[in-house]
Amino acid sequence: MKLKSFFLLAVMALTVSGSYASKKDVFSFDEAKLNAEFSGLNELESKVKADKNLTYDVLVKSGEADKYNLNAGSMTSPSLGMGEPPLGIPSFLWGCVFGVIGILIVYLISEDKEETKKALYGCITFGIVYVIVYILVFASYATTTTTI
Amino acid sequence: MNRKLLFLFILIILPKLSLGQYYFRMSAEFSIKEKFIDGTSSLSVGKMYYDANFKKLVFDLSFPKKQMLVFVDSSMLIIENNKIIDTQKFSAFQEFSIYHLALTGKLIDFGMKNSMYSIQNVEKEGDMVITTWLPEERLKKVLGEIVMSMKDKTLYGIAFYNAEGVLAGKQILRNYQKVGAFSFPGEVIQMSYLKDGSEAIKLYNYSNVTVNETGKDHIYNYIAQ
Repeated sequence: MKLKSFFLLAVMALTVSGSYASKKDVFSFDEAKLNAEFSGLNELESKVKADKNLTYDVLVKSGEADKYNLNAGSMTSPSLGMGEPPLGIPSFLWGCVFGVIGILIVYLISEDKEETKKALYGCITFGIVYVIVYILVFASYATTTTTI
Repeated sequence: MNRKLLFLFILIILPKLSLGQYYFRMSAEFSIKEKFIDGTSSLSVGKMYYDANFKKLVFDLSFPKKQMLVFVDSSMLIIENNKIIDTQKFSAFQEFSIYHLALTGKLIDFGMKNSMYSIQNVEKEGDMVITTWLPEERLKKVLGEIVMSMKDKTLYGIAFYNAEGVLAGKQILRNYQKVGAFSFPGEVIQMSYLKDGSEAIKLYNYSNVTVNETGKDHIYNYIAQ
């Protein structure tokens, strides 16, 4: 019986230690793979920076656009991107315009759940109201302080 | 008496010292490279301008086409040859942009302190300080936890989990550029994972970061014709 319990505990201990993954590991990625995937775009970026008159239309006319497998939709109008842009914002701007909130919205809306969309619209509306109230309170406080 | 004088001196000098740390506008050359799930890609190159007082965000694009995108109030204006060719309405507030967070010194936690998340755990793993954030109770059905890592006192990574605990995406911020006490990531790598296992990658690069630039109000406070 004691031996059985010992083995049971040992198996449990191994299972726990095996399933434990360091949170730090989530931030690792394959640098070489990333460089390989973006080598074509890096080359195009260098060309664009060297020639300020180089646009997507010029690339299409010269027949070079296909070489970089560019997405025609997002290149002809950054406001379109792939399919319906979430909340009408160009997808390529989400990461920088809205920081963490924007990224979350893109992840969640890309799952295309109506419920999720509604919840996020609610959150955003709350956020806007919060910012407006904050500004109004701050403005009225500033006015009061100045008049004193 | 001397102590009183010293106190008075500190009181006078302190606002001036803190004023030296006040950053209100920034500009940078940028490129945004994107790999879509279908294998196609896109590239945008240009210069961005942001002023935290005017709250106007301007993207002056040179590629894929010469175009300006101006975010003001709740509109995005698309401008070509100094004329508005399209206006899109949206619910947005520039206060949450990476630029606003950097200028106001809140990039360290990506503005999470004032969000619907709260800290659940902080631990040290090697050279990183890992912080786990949990959403408010009422949002747990929709949002999952967010894990952040700090390296060398700067934000290094953010990982987003969905409500089921599956990794939905992550961002790596590195190669910070320093202008005085102001620092901004020179590279942001964004990886998104969909349920079918596919991965989309976005790469933001920033260079020639300038802060508190004077004399360019016509761009920072862009008024559309």
